[in-house]
Amino acid sequence: MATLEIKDLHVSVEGKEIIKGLDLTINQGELHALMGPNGSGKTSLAMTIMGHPKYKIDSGEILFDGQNISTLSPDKRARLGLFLAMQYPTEIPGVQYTTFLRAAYSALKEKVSVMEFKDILKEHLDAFKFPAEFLDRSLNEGFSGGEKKRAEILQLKILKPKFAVLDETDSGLDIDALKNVAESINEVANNELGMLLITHYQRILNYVHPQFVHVMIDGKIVKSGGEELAKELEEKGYENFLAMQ
Amino acid sequence: MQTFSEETIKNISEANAESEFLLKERLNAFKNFNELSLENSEVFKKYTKHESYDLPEIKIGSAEIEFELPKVADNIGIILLPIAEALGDSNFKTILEKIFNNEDKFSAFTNAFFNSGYFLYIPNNIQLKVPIIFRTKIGTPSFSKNIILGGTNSKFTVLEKIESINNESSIHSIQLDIFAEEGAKIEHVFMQDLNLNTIEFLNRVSHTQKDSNVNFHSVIFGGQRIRARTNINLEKNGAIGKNFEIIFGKESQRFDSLSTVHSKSDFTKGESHSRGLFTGKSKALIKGLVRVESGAKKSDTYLTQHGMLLSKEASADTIPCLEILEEDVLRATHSASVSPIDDDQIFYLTSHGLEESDARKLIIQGFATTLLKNIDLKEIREDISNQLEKKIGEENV
Repeated sequence: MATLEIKDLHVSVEGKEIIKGLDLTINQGELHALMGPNGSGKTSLAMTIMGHPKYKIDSGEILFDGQNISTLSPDKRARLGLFLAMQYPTEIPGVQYTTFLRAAYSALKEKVSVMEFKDILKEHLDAFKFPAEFLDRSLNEGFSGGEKKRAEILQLKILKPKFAVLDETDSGLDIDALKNVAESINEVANNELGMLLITHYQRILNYVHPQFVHVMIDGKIVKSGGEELAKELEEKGYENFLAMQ
Repeated sequence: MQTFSEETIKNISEANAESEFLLKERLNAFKNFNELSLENSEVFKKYTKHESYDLPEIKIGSAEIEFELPKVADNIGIILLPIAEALGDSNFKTILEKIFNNEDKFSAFTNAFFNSGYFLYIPNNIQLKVPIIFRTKIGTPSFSKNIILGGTNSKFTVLEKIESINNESSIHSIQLDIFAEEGAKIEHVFMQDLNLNTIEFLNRVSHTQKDSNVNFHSVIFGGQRIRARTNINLEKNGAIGKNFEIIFGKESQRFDSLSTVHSKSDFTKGESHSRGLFTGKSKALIKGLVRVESGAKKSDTYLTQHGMLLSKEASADTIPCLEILEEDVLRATHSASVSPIDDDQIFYLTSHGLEESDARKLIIQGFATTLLKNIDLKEIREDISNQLEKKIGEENV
């Protein structure tokens, strides 16, 4: 069973400590929600798990299936089965969405021809309500906020990782798009996938039901619990938790 | 060996049995060449004040130009002539008066020494779905004067491929004038793959009548020093002119490019877009100028110049300049940047499993090909895209 274990993690960006001793264990098949106010270090944690070079691990470790992955390059982590849906997916002009996704599929799954990949995509496209010309557009360029997020979830469905971090995939979505994204998350959530759903608002948890909820304040997890914790947050806000740091 | 002198000009003219008129134009062009400085615009002069081109003694040859015309060419009145023959034809007198404008130093240079080139005329209302292709093989120094004339409401694409057939140091100088009659739409695609010992002087000028459209596309791979001047003249109401330039620099190549969009009438639309990739110790100066004359109302002009540095020793400068003398414009904007590959772009791709070297290549290829969608014909887009992929693959980027 695949497990992601984060032990006493300290991370800094340009010399400033952002994550200040964080512990978290997520098993395959579990859905965890990580909630916290702006600036608490949620995105930094996501970037660190995936290996963005800007985020420097000062101490602690990240283990995936028992293997320390802290020094692995992002592509090696992806090949082990890690996946990150970014809060602000990067725009890459001139690289078609399909070209990118086929390259990712070929690197992570199996080498496929353009035609074979079109068939794989076709299965998912209708469900995502993407127009056909969407696939020929430059990666994330000129995508609306909702399209960017849905495009990330489409990748999750096609690349089928073992462990996924979804960084504020619910932000910037109108209610229909939010429901659509939540449905997709429920669809991919299964016994084989471990998921960390990072969110600022409780809203998405009306549709997606994590087994574990964690509250992150100032670089640390200050409280963990079940879904009731999210409800508590919704009612009382982060105020009470700020005192816990 | 020959020097760039009046005597050489007289020899060329005599060998071609040219008219006195033409010899006079050549000698006048040579005078202009000697008098003109490298830059006309005060804005750009400071960037080239230490520049010079050492023109060696050479043996002037003539470029070998192969061409492909559509099969129906004869039946529909397409005319293709060697330049020397066309210049002796009184039917084209009105054009002749315009093609010896020696405003740029190296336009004047080519006008003085040209010894090859073509004249292409596409009649009124002829619309071609296949490109007219010119393949020029450079073995000896060559100076080409090319003229394209598109009749009223004609629509066609000219693909011009230039390459070296040896590795000798050489000069390739080209002056291209495109005349678009009312409503004509002309695409000119220039693919250059010269050896790295050749100096190239490329001058392209469009002359646009009412509601006509001339677009220049260029992909430049080769040459030791490349000096490119592209002048988009929006002369009559509703004229459109665009320039799309892709430069791929390596080793110690040096580029000096200036694209000018000049609006002289109402409701004109002009754009110039440059994308440069630079590896090795290559250097580039990418300049752009938009000038809207007073009284030229409702113009829409746009300038973009972006460079990507792929090695620590490569360098590029982008210099946009807007001279807007009319208040009533729809748009007059520019954007310019020079930077290495964005780390976040690399991370996005590697975090999806691509190895860093593959990620870099994909980003570079994407950056260079963003302009290709503006080329009408799919076969040309694919040809250039394949060339770019091959060239990028050859470099350690």
